[in-house]
Amino acid sequence: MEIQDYASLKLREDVIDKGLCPLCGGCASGCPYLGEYRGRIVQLDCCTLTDGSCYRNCPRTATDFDVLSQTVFGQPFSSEELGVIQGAYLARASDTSVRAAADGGGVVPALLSASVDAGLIAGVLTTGLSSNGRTGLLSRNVIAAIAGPETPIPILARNPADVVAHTTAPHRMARTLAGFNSVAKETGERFAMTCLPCQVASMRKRLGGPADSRTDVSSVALLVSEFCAAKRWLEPGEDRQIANKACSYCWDLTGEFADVSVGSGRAKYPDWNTVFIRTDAGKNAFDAAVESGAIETQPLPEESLQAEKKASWDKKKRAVRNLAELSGSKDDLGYLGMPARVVDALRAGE
Amino acid sequence: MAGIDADAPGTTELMMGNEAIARGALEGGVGFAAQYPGTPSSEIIAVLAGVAKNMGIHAEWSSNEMVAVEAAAGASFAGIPALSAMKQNGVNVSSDFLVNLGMTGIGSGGLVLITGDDPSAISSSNEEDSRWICKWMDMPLLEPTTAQEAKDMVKWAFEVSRVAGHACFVRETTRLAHTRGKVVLGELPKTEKKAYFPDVWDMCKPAKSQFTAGPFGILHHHLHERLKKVVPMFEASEFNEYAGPEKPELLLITSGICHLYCTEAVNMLGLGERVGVCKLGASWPLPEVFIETQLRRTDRVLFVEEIDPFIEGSVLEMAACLACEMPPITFMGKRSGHIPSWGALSTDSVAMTIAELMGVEYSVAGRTKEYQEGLTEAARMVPPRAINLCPGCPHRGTYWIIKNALTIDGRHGFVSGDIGCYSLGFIGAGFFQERTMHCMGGGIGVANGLGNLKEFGFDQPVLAIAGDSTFFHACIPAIINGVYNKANFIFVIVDNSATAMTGFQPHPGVGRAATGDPAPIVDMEAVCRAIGARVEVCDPFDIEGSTRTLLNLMADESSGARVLIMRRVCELVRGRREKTRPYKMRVNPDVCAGDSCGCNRLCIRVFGCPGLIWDEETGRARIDEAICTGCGLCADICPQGAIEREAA
Amino acid sequence: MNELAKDPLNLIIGGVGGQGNVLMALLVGRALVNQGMVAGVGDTYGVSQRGGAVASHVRISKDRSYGPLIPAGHADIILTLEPAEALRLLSQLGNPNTVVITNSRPVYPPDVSSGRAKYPKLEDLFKALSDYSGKSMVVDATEEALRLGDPIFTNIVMIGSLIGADVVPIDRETMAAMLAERFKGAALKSNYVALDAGIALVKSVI
Repeated sequence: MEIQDYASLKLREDVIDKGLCPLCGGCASGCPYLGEYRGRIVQLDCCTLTDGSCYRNCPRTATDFDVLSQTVFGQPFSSEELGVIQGAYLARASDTSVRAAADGGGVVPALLSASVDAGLIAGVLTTGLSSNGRTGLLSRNVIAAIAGPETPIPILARNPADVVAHTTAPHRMARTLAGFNSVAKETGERFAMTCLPCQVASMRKRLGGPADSRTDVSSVALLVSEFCAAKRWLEPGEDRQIANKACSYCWDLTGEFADVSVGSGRAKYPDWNTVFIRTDAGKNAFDAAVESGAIETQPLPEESLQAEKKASWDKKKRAVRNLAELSGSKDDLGYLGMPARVVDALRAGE
Repeated sequence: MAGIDADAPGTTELMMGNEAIARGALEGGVGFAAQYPGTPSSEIIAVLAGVAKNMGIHAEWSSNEMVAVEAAAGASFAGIPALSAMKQNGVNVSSDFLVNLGMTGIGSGGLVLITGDDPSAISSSNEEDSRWICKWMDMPLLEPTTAQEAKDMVKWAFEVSRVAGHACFVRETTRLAHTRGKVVLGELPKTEKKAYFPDVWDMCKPAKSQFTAGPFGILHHHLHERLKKVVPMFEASEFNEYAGPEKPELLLITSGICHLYCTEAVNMLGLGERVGVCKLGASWPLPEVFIETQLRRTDRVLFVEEIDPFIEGSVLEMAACLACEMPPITFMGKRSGHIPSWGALSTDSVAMTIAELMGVEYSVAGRTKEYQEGLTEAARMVPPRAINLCPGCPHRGTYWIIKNALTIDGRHGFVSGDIGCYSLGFIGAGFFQERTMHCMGGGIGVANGLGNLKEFGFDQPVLAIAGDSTFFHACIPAIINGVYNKANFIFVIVDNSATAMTGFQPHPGVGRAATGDPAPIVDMEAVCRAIGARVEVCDPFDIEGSTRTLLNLMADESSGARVLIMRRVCELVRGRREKTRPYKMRVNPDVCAGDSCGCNRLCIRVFGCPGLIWDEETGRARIDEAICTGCGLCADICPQGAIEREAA
Repeated sequence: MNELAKDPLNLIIGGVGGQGNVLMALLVGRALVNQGMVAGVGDTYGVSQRGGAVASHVRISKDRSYGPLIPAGHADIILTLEPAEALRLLSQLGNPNTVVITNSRPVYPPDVSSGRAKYPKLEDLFKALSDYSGKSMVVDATEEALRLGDPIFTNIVMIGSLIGADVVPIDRETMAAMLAERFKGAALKSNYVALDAGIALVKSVI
């Protein structure tokens, strides 16, 4: 086979070298050759496979939004500004210390620790610091494994206290997908992940692809997405956020393929989170958390809903514009396999 | 077999060339022997050190060839016959001393230098003919053709060196050094030697010592005159001989092991009545009278020698001067392209050339065209067999760490390499990490330059690599230069407690002398710290910790020259010493991902330890228990955790 | 057998670097000299030891010394520790009358394990050896050595097979004496067992 057919090299050519890589870590999650380190995807050696999960599961390689939506929701891609929504709320953790740790509403830690308590999941796949000790996951990806005391490493948090501690840290999503590679098929357990929208897309592409040799994507029982404004998590020890220009090609503010999407309450409701429930799995987890008293809720005020719709729609418009500029052609939107009806709607009035 | 030091003249033994050389040295009265290991010469001091106590002589592994030759010369100044041995590169290393030694003479002891050239560079970084140094520096040269001759020549060489007042070179090649042949032992001398440096200051008659070189060009003239005294010895020597018809149609002029190729080729072709063979054993200074006699037999001459046209060129110079007085001769050899200008020769290659020149057919015995074609076709199924690092080799761990650290770092860093087992870093065995490789100490030397290019926007991390023995041989001045001139590099010293490639000889860092006696340990870390470098020590089997340390070192550019010692004993040394395998290894076929995404045969295709093989039937990796040494390292690199290790 | 079948008799001992062919050649050479013959042994050392193809040329004569290398087509006996090496050496040095005695166990080179090259099917390899030699004998020496407790005995087993095949003028007692010069105690006993196992193994396939 020709060297240019190697999947990892095509990934580099089609995504990384084009400046599209959002550093979601999806390529690295199944692979001993790839890893994310200090703001770039590192390739340790050459894999000669032409059909690789690295390319297939990258959120910035060709993505058919209708197919993905069908996999998650059983319906074509939604034309709504915020995607498929079963319920929209303001919510917050009942426990004020959780809110304080989260510096906001604390819904993600509260929801996930409640799910663990309720036995809906065995644990939460997230990212921790190695100075906190290795708590179970060595992805055998050497990059994640050469942890210094302040390097984020994948963590499977199994008890509620750990869940809260890890999912309130700024680096909580840094190497989560790398950890997915280490949660072996044979455990048979089900767990949750808290991700950014690009990471959600990677995981959902995995759902639609062939079975991997090592991992079982159906073990992901609950995918919680945080809203993303293209700011990256902090690398501890580095006093800055790693800004990523690639994020200007992203369409997804709220994580439209997640089970539950959680964002800040914004200036009006600093103590609350905006929550969108999208799937039945999301609804069950949310209801369980409400019933157990871990979470307080109120319906999302209309004003807030409108604000989110506008922000989301604007991000989608910007993505379409930037992708057309990148390719030099209105008709070539690269990875963005959105149905034409949505693209046309985004362009209407421009 | 009787030992090399057997007092049994007349006995026949089977000895390899190097053993015969050692025996010859003993028969020549050697008292002091020093060497730095170098293939194909390494056995010489090893053997002498084994009998040193019995024979009451001194034998040592020196830190490098220059020191070895200097030390041997010192012994000769004090009246003790001395010997040093080296591979071709050692001649280069000691050359500055030798050219000055020519100015002073060697005193009364006698000094014999054995040089082992390596045609085709089978175990060398370069192919080189070291005989030129004899012409260049006016030293006599002997070239043995058999183990017997090697012994006899080395014994004689001490006498020749005393007449020449300079080192006498005895040049062997790989095939002589390591071929075992019949040797009849001679007598061992019984004289007691007392060492005394004869030229101390005499206050009543103050004068310069004979052993000081200096601003006296006339010393060069004296050297030429001394060498001339050797000529009659060489003209009369039985090491130069002619065999064949009075007037051969073709005269072969040859030396060294090529003589055996010539005689066997002539026999095989049945040309004994038509082709004559002139063997030069005492070849520089040229025994011109003897050679002229042979030249006058014929009008066609073919020079057959390895590696350069050394004899060829020198005889052509001589023939040019005789041209007016002699019938014309067609000279053939490397100049004419009849003999290749590089590489080792063989009976077959020589036979093919002679056959063509003599118009006879050379056919490989017993092989019909049909057999030849069928066999060649069948042999295509034999896979190539590249060299590899041994199973359990710590260098595999070191290069794995380096490869990962450099790619993680991402600034196009690279390794400037050196000579030893770790040289295999230049091919797949060491993941192609070594990007320059020249001579002993060349790695850190080159890194000094690459590490001082900030004026030109250079920002790639520079790593240099060398082994522990190489460190003592050649690297210390370059570390000093790096600190003093503030060069930016990381010097990785792979310390496996041995001079491994040449045969696991000890060195100053190991604590054992050539004789096997305990020796003081020169502390490598203390030396580097005293020079002023930042030093870290890691275990190349600790993949995570060492990768982390190396990444930290790469980030720490304010420290200038940094040293990372990767310390773990050579697996072959450990295995022989402990006679155990630390772990029993197994690949779990249920967990192994084989060719599929998430692995793609990482352990075999990339990591490449020969103890791991591919099972075609199951599509999984497997441990080859006949090769695996149980070091356990592969368990740490398998991405699926499929390789299991169990303490043995 | 104490007579040379031809003079010189050319034996090549081959294998993969690290398998111990140098020791084999030394034992054979010394045994021959002990029995009053002239033997020259040319080994490969150094870099090729690191898993490369290695071979020792042994030239046996009643009274003459020969060059260090066996000329092409002049190998009378090919004794190898690895079967692909037997074919490699046969193609370089063999002729239709050559006797081949080889260990059956492959050592896979890096190119094969990585998938870049193929190792032939053993039956194809053994057939080629048989087709292009005078006689070909395949011996499971590694398996025998593993049974004896350590793969390191493979080369002594092969020495045994060389003797048992009755193609060189060395008898068992002379070789046993050579082993006794090098080994002592339990190690010597194990080597005797390996030697005799090799003799028996080859006799079962002659």
